[in-house]
Amino acid sequence: MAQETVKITINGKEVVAPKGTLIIEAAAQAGVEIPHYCYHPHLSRPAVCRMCLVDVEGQRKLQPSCSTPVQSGQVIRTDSPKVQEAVREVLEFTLINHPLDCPVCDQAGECGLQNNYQDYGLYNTKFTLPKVHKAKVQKIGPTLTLDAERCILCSRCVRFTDEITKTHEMGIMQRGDHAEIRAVKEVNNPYSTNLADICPVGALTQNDFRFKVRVWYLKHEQSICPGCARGCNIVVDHYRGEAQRMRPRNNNAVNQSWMCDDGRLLYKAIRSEDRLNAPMLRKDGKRLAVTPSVAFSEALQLLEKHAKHTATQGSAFVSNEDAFALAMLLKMMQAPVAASLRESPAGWDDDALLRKADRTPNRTGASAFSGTEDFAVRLKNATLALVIQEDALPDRSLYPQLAGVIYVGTHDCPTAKAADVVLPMAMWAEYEGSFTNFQGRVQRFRPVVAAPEGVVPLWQLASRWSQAFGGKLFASAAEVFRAMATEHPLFAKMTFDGLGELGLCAPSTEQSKEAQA
Amino acid sequence: MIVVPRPAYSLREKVYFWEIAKGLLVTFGHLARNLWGAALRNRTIQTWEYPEEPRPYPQRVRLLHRLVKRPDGTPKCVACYMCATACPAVAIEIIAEPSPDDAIEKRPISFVIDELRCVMCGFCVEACPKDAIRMDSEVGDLMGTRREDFIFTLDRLLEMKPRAGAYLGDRELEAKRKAGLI
Repeated sequence: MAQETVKITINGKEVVAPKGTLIIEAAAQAGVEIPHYCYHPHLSRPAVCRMCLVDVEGQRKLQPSCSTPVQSGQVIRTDSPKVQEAVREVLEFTLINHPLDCPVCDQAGECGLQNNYQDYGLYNTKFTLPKVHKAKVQKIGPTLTLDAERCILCSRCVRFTDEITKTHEMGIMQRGDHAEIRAVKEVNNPYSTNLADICPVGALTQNDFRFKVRVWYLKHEQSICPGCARGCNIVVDHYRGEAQRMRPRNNNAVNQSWMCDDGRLLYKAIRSEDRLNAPMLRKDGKRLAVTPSVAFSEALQLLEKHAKHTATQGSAFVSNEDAFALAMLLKMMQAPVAASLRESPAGWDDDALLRKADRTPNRTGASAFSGTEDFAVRLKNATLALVIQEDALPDRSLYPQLAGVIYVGTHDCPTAKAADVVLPMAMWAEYEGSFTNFQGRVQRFRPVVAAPEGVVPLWQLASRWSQAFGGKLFASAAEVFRAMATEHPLFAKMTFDGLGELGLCAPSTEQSKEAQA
Repeated sequence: MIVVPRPAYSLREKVYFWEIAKGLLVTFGHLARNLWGAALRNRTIQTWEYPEEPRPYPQRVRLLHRLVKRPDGTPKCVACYMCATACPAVAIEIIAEPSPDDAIEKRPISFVIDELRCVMCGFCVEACPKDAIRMDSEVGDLMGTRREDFIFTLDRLLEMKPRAGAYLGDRELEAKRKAGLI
């Protein structure tokens, strides 16, 4: 059944919107931006900030567009002098007690007050009385700093803790110009940092990012959080080749506008101390750093010698392309398919909002290219072990018949320490690829920072090795994806560019069936 | 397109010798004045014996940077990065940290100006919202043999003294005006 639509006119432009849409949403779809603070698409609409007032023909008073649904034939103006004056006065009122400490405020550069003041500012104050001062620099939890003075009382944080996390930590106390935002208890829920994102001003700021970089220096790249099977859509902000913070990006089918606090800190693993930066060979019990080409050919010699007797442990931490290229390599080597994926590291259980107990980003995708047999079983008959990312073989002495161990991974671990050849591989933020989340949604991540010198993603290593066995050398992740789409139904009819910003679900998966129904 | 016609030479200019003589007259005039002027310490002299005889700076000259201190000696700078953002030569590098004083909130842990990169445009002074950076130090000519001689760290910038007679900003002017000095 097609949705009922209504015709309205916004700023003289005819717009067709589904019935029940709010004016602010209909305007946004038509490309007209209405300034707002308290409105958020995933929270309730109290219409307290009064910034989104619009002129609706036939109505004596201006209407808040965030809580007025569109009606057929409405004629709306967002640019009339009456609206402009109202918005300017609302902004003037909002700024009466604002401390204007932009020089020390982390929000400067992405602040709702600053941005709207450019368009609607009064520019010379009429207010001569002293400002009301409130508590500054309150550490209200492990992730957040609250500055009550900067708050404009939009109540987004109150509604987030009431409606989304249901932890009820934030509240507005007192009345009039003494009204003040306060944390009634420690804000320590797993989604607390979202408060810093939704706060339109600098009242709530993130401790981890505090004073690190001015936001106008940041460059942005769309990516996928690798923290759990949810695959939250994120933006990674980076500066001078280093990831600086991760924040959620809207995807209604996956994570709405939220992500968890643990996910946000995952960028730290990119430059962590135990990161493998250079390939290594083990000679006489010692590890020697070697050039990538030496390690590559050393590993290739092992693979060629033991081709059919190689036991492989794949990983749910690598991209679909990586898993597919590895499967292609094993096929060309005539080796058995990769062993079943290892269990996810423990940490948390599924919760009602986003977090999944499975803390690997790509179990759905990687399991499509691995077998069902356990790695330990495979090792019994193997003479060479190829371990990807997982710490699957910390004790080699259990398998005396093993002539060699090749480890390909991002971070050092006991398996890497015992391996004969260690090849570092690029992390999710350093190359292009896709993860398949628990819903079967294939989502694309993009390179944010450069990988350490000479370090390439797994699919490149695997495809270069497979060349020696007569396999195909892939030139790009898109090419791997094209080959994968023809091979496996999970990626049927998908193209790498077709994944877009929000990803795609294969026709066979649950979510896609639900969407069609 | 605009075509600017070249001025045509007059006969005297074409002959050339008269113009040469005119030029030499000026040269020899200066030579004579410098010779006798130096002997008589006459200020009509055309050259300056720099650096023994420094030229007075104009009132609003921009010299090397200095960072202004608060009364307690800590830097007035709050590490807002406005100067570093405004700097067209990317000469300023700041690292911020939380200040122990919550009323100040933010302070620089490192503030480095590479004076070799600086183009002396004064945008940093214009951009500063706290009047913390100024270009009115005593030093206008800096000499060194190593690159490090031109790297000004936070401590070095705080130690720079203001030049005598420097324009100290509105607050000081206001104080002088009230005291009836201006």
